[in-house]
Amino acid sequence: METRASHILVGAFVLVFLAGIVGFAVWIAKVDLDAEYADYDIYFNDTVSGLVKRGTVFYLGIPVGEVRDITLAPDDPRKVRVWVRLRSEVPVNEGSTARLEFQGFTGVAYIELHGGPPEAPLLAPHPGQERPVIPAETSGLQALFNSAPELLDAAGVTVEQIQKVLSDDNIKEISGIFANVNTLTGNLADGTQDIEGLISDARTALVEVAGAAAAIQKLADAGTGLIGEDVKPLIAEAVQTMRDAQSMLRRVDALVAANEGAVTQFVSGSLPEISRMIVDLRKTSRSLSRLVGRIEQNPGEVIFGTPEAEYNPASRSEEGGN
Amino acid sequence: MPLVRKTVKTATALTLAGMLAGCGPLISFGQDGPADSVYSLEYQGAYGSFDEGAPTIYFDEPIMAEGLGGRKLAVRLQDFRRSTVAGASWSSNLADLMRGYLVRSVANTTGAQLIGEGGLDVEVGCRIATHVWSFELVPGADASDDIVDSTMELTLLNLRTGDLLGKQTFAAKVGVAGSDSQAIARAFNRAIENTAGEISTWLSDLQDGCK
Repeated sequence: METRASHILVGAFVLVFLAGIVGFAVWIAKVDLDAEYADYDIYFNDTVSGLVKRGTVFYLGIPVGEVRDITLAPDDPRKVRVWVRLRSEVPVNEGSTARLEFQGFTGVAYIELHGGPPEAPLLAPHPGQERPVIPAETSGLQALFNSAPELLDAAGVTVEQIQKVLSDDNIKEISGIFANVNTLTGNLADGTQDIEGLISDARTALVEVAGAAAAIQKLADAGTGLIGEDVKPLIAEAVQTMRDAQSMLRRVDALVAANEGAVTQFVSGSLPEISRMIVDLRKTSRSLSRLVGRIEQNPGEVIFGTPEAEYNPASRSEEGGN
Repeated sequence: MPLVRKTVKTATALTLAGMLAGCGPLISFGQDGPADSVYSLEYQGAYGSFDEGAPTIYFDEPIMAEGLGGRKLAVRLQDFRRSTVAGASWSSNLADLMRGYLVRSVANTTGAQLIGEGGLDVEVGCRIATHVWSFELVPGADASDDIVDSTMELTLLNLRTGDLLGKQTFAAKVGVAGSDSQAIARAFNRAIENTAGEISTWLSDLQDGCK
């Protein structure tokens, strides 16, 4: 004989058990059945290495969604399209931007959103777009990673240059320079006393100069009065004289310029001749002076000569004369 | 009448001329006497040649001490008496003869361009002034002691700077081999020859200062 009541109990128990499992799963998954979501696309111009599906999307550090899919951009293979799903209450408006950030240097990548101005309208899909597109920005860390290879290359070149600079020969030279600097500073320290002496002398000289300046000032003051009273007429005459002399020099200059050839010939050729002619003229003048003296004393002697005895070498005696 | 008058005039003129001639010479120009033997100072070497790089020196006319100028051969006697050699004379003024001799001789031996008479318009570096203190016959006690005495003082002056480059006196005494004027003239020539040699040696050391 079979009991009908046991089958109903078993069936009811199973149904309750299944409902409990479903409720437990919903509780465990924290499924928000009432939540509403909005989908967006983000196009990155560079690699999104480290970003995975179901990765978290933050809005100013608050988790507001997740990455739904990561694919290449359909119309540009150089870009990556990231499809994100955000809670509908997240204020994604015009001006909002997305960045790919990392949790530390080796951490997981995530997307960080930054809102636009409060008055900006909410972001809407443009014509031809499947979903609204949030503009992507390059993060500082990403820029650092992008430029890291160039930085490393530059660092390598720098290290190589430093190695060249710090060669054994240059180190010897630098050691010599340091030695010379040491010697120089030593000499400078030794010469400090001399410098102090020089400064002292300079101070004394400045005092003397100041005294001289005062004396000059007095002299100038006195001279000003003198000039005002007596010297002005003299200066006026001197100026007039200088003007006359200047005018005369101009005429002389013009005269010399007009006769430059003749002047040159006169200076180079005629002057020496004149100097010798003067010598001859002096000689002639002396002779004429003597002649005139003789004529004054005895004119007949000049014409007829003076009777003089002549020496006869044969007889070794003088002959003739008076 | 005119013929008589003309005859009287001619006779009067002839009479006066005869009377004048009979009174003897009223104006005498000295005795004619025998002609002098004329001598010269002759340099026996070659004539100078032109060298563009050689120093150019003007040789001024010598200043002759009193009694040495003129054309007579001077004699210095005792007791400060002076005379001239009878029957002998120079062919030209002695200063001109000495200048010509020294210019040729010194130029030929030193290589310098010595400018004498006729070179007034040549630009020169130096000038040589000469003062002849003695160039005369000095009779001795007898003929074998007769000498010709030559003493000259030379001054070398740089005309561009006015510097006195040198000053020296050159003396030479040469014996007279004979008692006639010809022997005396030879002695004079030897005296100036010796003096010119000493002047050349002296100038060779100084002439570079005249370039």
